[in-house]
Amino acid sequence: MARNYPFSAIVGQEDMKLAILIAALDSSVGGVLVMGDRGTGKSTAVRALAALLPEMNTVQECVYACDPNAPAGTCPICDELRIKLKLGGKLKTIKKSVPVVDLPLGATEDRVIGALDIEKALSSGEKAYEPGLLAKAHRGFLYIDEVNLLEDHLVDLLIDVAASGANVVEREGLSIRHPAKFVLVGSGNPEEGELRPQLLDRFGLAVEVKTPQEPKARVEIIKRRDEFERNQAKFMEIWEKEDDIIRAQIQAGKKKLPNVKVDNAMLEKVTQLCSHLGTDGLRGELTLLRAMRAYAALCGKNRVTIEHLKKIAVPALQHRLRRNPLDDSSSGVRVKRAIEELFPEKTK
Amino acid sequence: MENPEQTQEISKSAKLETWLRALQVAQLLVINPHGLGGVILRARSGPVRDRWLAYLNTVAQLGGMRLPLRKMPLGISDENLIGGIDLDQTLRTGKAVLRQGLLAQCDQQLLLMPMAERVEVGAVAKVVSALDNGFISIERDGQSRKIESHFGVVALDEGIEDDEQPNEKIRQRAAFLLNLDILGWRDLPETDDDFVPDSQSLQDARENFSNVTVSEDSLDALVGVAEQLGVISIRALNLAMNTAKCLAAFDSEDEVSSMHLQRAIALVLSPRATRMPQSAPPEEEEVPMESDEQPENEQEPPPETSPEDQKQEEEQEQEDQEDQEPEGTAETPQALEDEILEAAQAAIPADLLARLADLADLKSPKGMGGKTGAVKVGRMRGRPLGNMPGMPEGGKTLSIIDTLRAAVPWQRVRRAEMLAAGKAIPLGKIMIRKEDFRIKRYQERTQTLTMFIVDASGSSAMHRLAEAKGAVELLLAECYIRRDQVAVMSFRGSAAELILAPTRSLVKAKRALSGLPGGGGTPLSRAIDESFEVASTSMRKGLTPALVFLTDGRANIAKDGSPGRPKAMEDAQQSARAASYYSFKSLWIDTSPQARDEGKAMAALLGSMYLPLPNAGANEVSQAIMQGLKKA
Repeated sequence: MARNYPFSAIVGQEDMKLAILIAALDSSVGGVLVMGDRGTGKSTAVRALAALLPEMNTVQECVYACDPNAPAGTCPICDELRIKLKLGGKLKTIKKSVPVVDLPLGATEDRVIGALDIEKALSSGEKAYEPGLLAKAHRGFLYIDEVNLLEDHLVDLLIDVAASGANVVEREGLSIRHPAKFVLVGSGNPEEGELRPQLLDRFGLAVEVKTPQEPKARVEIIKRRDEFERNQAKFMEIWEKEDDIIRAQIQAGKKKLPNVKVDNAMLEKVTQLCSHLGTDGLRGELTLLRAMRAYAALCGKNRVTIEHLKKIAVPALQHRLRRNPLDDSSSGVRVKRAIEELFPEKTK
Repeated sequence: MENPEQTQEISKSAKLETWLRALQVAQLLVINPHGLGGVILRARSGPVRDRWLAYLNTVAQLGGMRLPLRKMPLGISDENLIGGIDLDQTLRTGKAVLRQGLLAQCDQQLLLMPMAERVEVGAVAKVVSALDNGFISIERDGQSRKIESHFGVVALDEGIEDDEQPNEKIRQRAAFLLNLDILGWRDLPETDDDFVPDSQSLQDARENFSNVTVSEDSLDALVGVAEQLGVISIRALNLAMNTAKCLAAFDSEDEVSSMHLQRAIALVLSPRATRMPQSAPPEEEEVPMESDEQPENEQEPPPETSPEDQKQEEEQEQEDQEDQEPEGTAETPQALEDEILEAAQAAIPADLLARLADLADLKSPKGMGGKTGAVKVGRMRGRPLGNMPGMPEGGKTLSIIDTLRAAVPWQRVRRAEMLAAGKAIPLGKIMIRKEDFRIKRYQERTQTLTMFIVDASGSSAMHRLAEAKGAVELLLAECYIRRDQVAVMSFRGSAAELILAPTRSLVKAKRALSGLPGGGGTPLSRAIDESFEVASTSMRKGLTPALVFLTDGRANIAKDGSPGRPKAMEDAQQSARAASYYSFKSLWIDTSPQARDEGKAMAALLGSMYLPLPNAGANEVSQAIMQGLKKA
């Protein structure tokens, strides 16, 4: 099967790339929504993400690839393994790559949440649970292209699981509950219908992409695409080195993240901005805070500064604004304006 | 807009040229179906289209495709399109057997999509994702599989109106947009036999196109020309490049020459042009010439995202070049670009710009993309849209077949369970449990509510009111035929009054209109507030509202009923801004004797389509509204 186009070879689209990197660095930021023009490399960027992620430590015998340090009670299989080990023993671990799972349109519910293995049921009458896409995406990313075309009943399901971090399947008298914590990544074209607010809210960051206009960038895009199609191996070899650099940056950022400090003055600014914009609930504040921290870590900084806030406020907040009947500018512009009003350039 | 005179003006040679271009498209699609995405063929069903399809079929077989055209029926189910479990085989063999869908079967062939303009967006999205990925991702019925499939799409567009087009997703990914509607049977050559390529060169081209190289100068020229034609999409650039490669491969060359590039641009980019490069052919009257060097005089409709300064720069460059006729030899990238541009221009469809001007006006402001009667997924009626798990309650319909299908694989498990529990097994009966239940889903087209908001004030002079009434009556008849609902609100004095609540009764409507008195102030703000309230209520009831304002837009009664123009205008503007968030379709017919800025500004705030109709009679108004509502 063809390989994915490398992340580092994507020309421009810095906002989108940054949002994806932040989500890769800290999953608690809560997913990325990429909306915008057609043919701007939305899906290319998300699919390329898989190659950038550092491997993760998993429990070897657990089908859900759980974290060995996860608390007891989250995963039935790990719990069972722990009981077998008795006291003092350690779970066997293995490194696995972080999953980036596609949820294609037209997927049926049973494949999303998992179902009984039809073959086993037929051949031996056995009831064996076969994990679905949500289980596969555990600790990784779940990508939905054309997210606004996803069928309603699947959206409901996703919202539910994304909120609880666990997936419950009841079938043929079997009841299975397994952890399903994943980062939602969605892309789509806003002209084809809006997202339900409940789903919109699940995304930590939202970015808008536009077709690049600058002729040089346009030439570069088709040139690279041509090279990629003609000689994939060579192309990958060149860009893998660049991808390596980004991977190292993510890894360093992950290490740094717990030590990144946010002082009280900065916290106040976050609250100030959110209340000024009138974002609903606490989610906006929390996401902004986490995203700022992750961004600082990505930059290799120990403290969050006002520059980090300014850079990340638009993607963290723009999809959480209420419509204002007296102001018809786009929500991104409104966030920017609020930043300028509240924190004029002199803050240095 | 379709313009009959213009169509007739197209000369015989131009028609032949169009046909030959169509034949070349067929050849290219056979050479690289997947890399070129496909073709959108706009043509009514008839001998011309049949002949093109026959030619395509012939060429495809020569090129080595065995079953070249696989038809995708309208309203195909996901199961047939993507694939799913083959229940029969699965039960028979005791092993899960996957049934391939149509998309998987199309590998290395062409998918024929009849009535492409009517294919529902979900199905288009699935086709398109297979096109993008080169594989079909099946996550259905317990099966998880990826199947490689590289196909191209032949979308038959039978739309008549301009807004009836195949979904933009597929238009973006198909290299070629052909319009054969301008051709009649008599315009075609006697036979296409002379244009049938030999099998060997087709097959060689199929093998070699991927090795063809493109020089950087050619790429620069390609991007430059796209810029001049106002083609923004990167996909279009890629498709043009791939087309050039196929053309080169067909000529047994290993590098794209300027001739190939020219041809590719004429085939792929010209039909997508959103503006005319400045040396437009003189007969194009409606096209504002870009000969002016002042940036302020930019007046042609540029695609909204195009950066002015950059374009300006290009123009200047182009301007400088214009005096020296571009020579046939392409030495510098600029010269190459000019040369190609000339060829590209010649291939721009004649009626393109007239049509463009229309379409630019019609972009709905919020991009809600709804046609007459937005689509609603419901549970009661409409076109079947598959099934989902759920209980048949609250008016939902049980899908018996799907429920049985869901239950069948688990019979053995259930039997064993019953045995173990010591219960008697009902002989010869299928055991169905709660989780098997499937309910039907439908897609229904919602009804449209056309609401007229008529200015009955003194400022809309009495005779205007009479015309408005006449227009509304004519429209009512039209709406009646379409079984749409209508409502009429009038405003005068200090209030807006819903004189006709949403109804389908023609008689009622006529009666309401005939008693409509005129005179008094213009409480525009109230009219806007109240009409949108009625519209949003009707939306909650499942109707798709469209609003038609007939007014001169000169408010003089404020929201609180007090007279005074400035306050009244301010209130009206505020109401319009608030109302614009509903994103309803609306039409603003300016009835003032001379078109005024007030009306235009209000329409812009509301996001309405603006139609000044200073001296139109009832007939013209009703025609304008019909046109406008179809598109707005």
